[in-house]
Amino acid sequence: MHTFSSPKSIWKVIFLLALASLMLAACSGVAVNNWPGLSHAGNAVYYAQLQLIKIDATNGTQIWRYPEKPDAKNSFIAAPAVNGRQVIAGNMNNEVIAIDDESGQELWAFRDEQGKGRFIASPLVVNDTVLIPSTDRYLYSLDANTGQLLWRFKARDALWAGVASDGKWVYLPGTDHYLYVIDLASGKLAWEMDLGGSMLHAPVLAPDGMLYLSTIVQEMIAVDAAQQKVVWRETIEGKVWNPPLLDDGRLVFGTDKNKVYALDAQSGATLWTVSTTGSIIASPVKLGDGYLLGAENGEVFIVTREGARGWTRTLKGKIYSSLSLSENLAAVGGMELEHLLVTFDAQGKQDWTYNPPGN
Amino acid sequence: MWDTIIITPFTNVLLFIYTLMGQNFGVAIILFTLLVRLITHPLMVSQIKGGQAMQELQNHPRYKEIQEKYKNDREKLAQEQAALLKELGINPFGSCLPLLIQFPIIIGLYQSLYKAMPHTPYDMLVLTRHLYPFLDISRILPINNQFLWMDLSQPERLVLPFLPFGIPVMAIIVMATTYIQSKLLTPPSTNPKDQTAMMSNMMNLYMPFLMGYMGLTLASGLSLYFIVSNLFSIGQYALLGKANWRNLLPKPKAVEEPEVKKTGKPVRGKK
Repeated sequence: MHTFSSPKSIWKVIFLLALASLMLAACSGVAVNNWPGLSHAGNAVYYAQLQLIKIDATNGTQIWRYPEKPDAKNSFIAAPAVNGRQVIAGNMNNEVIAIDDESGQELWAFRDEQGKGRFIASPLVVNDTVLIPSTDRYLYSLDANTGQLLWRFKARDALWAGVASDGKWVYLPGTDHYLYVIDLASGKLAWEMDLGGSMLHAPVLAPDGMLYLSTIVQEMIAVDAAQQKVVWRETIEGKVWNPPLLDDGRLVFGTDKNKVYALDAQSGATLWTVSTTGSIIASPVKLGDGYLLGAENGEVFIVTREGARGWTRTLKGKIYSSLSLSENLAAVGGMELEHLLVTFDAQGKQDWTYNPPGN
Repeated sequence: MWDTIIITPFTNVLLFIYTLMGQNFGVAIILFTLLVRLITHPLMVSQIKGGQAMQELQNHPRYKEIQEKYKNDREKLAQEQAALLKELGINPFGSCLPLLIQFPIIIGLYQSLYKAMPHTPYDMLVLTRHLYPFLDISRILPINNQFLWMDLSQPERLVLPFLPFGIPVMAIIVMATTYIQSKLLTPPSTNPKDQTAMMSNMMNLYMPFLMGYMGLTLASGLSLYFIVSNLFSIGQYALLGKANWRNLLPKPKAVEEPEVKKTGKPVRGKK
């Protein structure tokens, strides 16, 4: 039994305290929630999720991690770029960091004091120039050796997707529906094109100058960069969240509506589709004679070049990232997985796995 | 369950207002906050009335009598109080139940604001999965986060050309409105030794700093929500005539009284 000395005040205090605690718990210091960014160079895998981790690609041994202790505010989510002895990545706190590939020590850090962005997209290094888009609407061009700002280009809205470049032009997809083409040397806009929907992944640039990208309004689009025109656009079932794979005239990709597509890169005609039981968020990667795909329901499977299903393995957790390590080995990562990285050979046999030491 | 009933409908209504308002997310936040607060207005009125009934009860002669009579028997005191409440037709939960019903709505409002401003591709993936079919995603994305001088997805600072640092205007307004709201909403206490009143006063000091800190560090879209919500509460209380404007004025200083008054001895001389 309780007494009613001033129930209203008591309830008010309890209510405010609980409200404040919940709000703080919901937002403050919460780690950034995203799938890992993966890249591969030489004999190493680079894993970006909260920290940057360099892993030996032959056996899954951790080589270094940066920073040494996880820091939610300065977390990394985008795959880093490897430029010789440098590993370059942007974090969620408006900083681009270059790390010595051997030691894992910081070489330089760039921070635009006027910017307030997050680096969601991976950087691209072209001729010692780092190109990295930010959610603060700017594409930053930095000197890869020093981290000095060379130029910056302002889009109409936040930039979430990485860029492609042929060494002269930079192709920048925006969430503002525009594809920007920028002079790599000067940072000046050459031309732009409204593609009708936000673009969330980097374009694929073919050797013949064709660009392949998708929009959030469920279209896969081919743009002839030299002619500055859309060659074809195909409506697809679902959204594509990572770059498609261009292989031997085929454009292969999965969607979040449980479909795998292969389109003819020249015409956009559908070569085949495969239905899956889970959403496909990760890019397909080549493995053996087929393509390895990872699904959100934990399925890892092979689709042959002709569109037939091969072996399937099931992991506990959600697969959102994939990476080709060699002709005969590929890695998958994601969220809620037992291991941060799991590798498979072309026959579907599980090879090494990675978890941070101590886990 | 929580997502389906609260977060998803809230997020969709917020984004629907956003599309109606010419893709101005700041105006959408303001209108959405006002809409939710208007819908919960009857609950607020019920809460105020319940609170007032409890306040009046404390001045009721029989309540005082019971308190005095059973001051050494807490169980009996509680029983007698409950009987009195029943007799007078006062629901002891009249003030707290509407508050508890509002609780998930306020949390949901806050979470839907956060959800509508995705920070990562995964957040975006989750958002696109929660959009109702009637919303045209090509019109929603990208969400225009610019409102006045602010990027609503980022903590706000007003940068002036002659100052080397940015001024957290929104955090200051959040603090000020939270302070004013809590002062206006606090009923005057008749008993200076009332512990709950003291706790309430502490909260009145503590909450503005807590909310100010949140305004300083979280996305300014949330600060905008806090400010609109605070101003709405102030307006609600003012319209219902329950705002204690005197609480905002400095209290007159206590004057030292003559010793004779304190001891209760006669103040007049002999006749």
